[in-house]
Amino acid sequence: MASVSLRHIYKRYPGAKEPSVSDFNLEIKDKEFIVLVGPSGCGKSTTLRMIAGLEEISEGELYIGDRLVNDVAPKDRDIAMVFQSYALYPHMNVYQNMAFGLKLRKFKKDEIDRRVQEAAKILDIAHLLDRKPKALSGGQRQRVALGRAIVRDPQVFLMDEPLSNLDAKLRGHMRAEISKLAKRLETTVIYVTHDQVEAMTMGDRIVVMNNGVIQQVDTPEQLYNHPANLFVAGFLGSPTMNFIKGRLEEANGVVSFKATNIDIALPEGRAKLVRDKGYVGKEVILGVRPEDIHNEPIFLEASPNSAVNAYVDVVENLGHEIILYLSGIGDGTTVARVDARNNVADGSNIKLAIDMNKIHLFDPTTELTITE
Amino acid sequence: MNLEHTKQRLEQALGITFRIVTLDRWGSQTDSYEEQGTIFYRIGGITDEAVQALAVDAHLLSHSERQLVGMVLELERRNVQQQHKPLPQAADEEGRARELGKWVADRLEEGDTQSPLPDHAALRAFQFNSCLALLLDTEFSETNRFTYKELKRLIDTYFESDNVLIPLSEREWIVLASSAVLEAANEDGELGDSTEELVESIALALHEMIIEWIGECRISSSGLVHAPSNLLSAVHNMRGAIRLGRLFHVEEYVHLPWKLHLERLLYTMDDREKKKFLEQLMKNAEHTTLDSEMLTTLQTFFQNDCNISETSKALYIHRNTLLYRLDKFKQATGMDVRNFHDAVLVHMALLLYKVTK
Repeated sequence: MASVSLRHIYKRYPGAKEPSVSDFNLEIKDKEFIVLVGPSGCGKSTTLRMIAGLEEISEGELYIGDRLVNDVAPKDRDIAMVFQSYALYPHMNVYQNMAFGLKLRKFKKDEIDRRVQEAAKILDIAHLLDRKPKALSGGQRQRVALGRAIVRDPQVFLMDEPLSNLDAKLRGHMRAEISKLAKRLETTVIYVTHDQVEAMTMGDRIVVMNNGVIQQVDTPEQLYNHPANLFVAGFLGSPTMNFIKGRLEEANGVVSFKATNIDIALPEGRAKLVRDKGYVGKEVILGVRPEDIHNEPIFLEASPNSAVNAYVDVVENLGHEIILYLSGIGDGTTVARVDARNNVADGSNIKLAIDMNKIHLFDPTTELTITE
Repeated sequence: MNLEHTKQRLEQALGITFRIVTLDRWGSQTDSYEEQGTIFYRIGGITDEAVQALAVDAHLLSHSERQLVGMVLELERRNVQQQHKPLPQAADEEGRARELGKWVADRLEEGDTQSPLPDHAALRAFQFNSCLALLLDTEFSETNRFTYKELKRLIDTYFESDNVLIPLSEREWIVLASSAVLEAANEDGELGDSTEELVESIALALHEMIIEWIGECRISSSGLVHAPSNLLSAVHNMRGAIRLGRLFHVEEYVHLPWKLHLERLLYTMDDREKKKFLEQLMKNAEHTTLDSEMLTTLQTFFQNDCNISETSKALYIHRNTLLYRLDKFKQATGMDVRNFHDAVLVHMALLLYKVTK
């Protein structure tokens, strides 16, 4: 297994005004599971393809272990790739599919057999070795694709949206399987997805990308709770974080956030921060996650300074929780996630309170956080 | 020489009618002569037996046109001689494959998609049977340099048989594989797939294999062909499919002729017509209407046969979000893609949008 180091990597396509990937810097540790996530066209797949050797690197250096591999052919990089299409060789059976790469590398027959049998056991597909791909289910095919990569025992696994062709239930199952597998094999994995749930549940660290630029690199927990900018804050989390445009004002030593129908006090720690950074009297964007807006009586009682009134437009009862679509807080729609035991009806007026210790404030011009 | 084809081309160019005639004897020492108001142009060689000729009423041709027709037919005769000249047979397999590749490339360069292949050792295996024809267009670069032998070994291992590999250039390679691979791919399945589906699965998997070992490439296939008689037209079709794929589907790498009918049709429109069509269709749209999110949404919607539920699943969005986006597009353009007629137009507009932008 090996570390991967991307140093000031750029990808420019001829004729394009902007680079597809800009100044990408990342040190991936040995045995780390790193996830590149971002919306379509953000440059995550291009980055993976540069690591794989399928795209030339326009500028910068790429190391796998200690070796500079910018000019090394894909087959000589000691990597294994699993793609979204996981196109198995349709005319070969499962055993032959898994043995193919080893056969080409001129491994001895008994070594090929040992590796294929071992991988098949790990992936629980030993009973399918004689079958052709046509006779396999989607999940089984995905396992064979993984098996094809595992037998190679590569330094790094590259996976490009490997689960996106599976249905939701199977995707959830395979998500856990791949995480488990990576731990068992103690291998370095670079995984590309646009699905934030995959990113949050699988990655040791997540790289959030937008417009070819890294927005933030951190653990799932840190990214969720301490987003560096508006993009990261809005990208991770479902339903997404609520953003309310308003102004910070200070009166009698209390700093408050004011917007349409809102006047809520900031806790002293955050008040000091925005005061020190000179944001009092200025426009800001307040971010609050749906689960940080509460309607439980005990919370309302304890938080009189952050109470708001809202009108319930839509109630979505998901069984274990209720999603409320509210108007009257700021100018747009606000979403709250509350306990399913709360009895809230469409078209009613309710009182809620925002957990002010969990709010985020962003500079509307730079879009960077001002509360970290 | 394809006599009927040459006759048609001359008729189109000159706007007059030619006749194909068989003469008992050739009445001249030259390649053409006039007799009783008819000009005869020799087609084949002069033998003791009958001679084929192209005949035309003399008064229909000016002096210079007579000379031009004579020149055209002389060039055609030389071409035929060239085609029937046996290829020099190199001693090794690679040499023979390169000679054949050069012959194919030269014929196609001259616009010939009909000629049968000359007798060639490399093709003996496929002399009487159909084979699977594929074209690889590799992105050959300094880092991804590979030799004939390396690619041949890869292809032979992939198809588990001895195949024919013909280089057209450093980038383009014809692969001819035994049709048995299709039968092998169709085993075990509950329902038999169509030949097109099997060819597609083989091409997709071949692409994945090639990129791992050599680097990025584009692949096309014309399915099963009888190589000795149809290889030129098959390669012509596959090249066309890759050209269309590169234009209309830049992010895909397997381009099959039978999946590109609409693209082929749109490709024939001249640029002014394309722009006019787009302008008329999108006249009410603001610049921001077709942002990347909207483009992805519409493309996924069409890929999923305009099915709201499948599209929202594929995009990982709530169906209401999808409906909101489609409504937004309708508001901006007046086109409701849930309506078949509008969907067809928008689908065409999206294809053209990619090409013109």
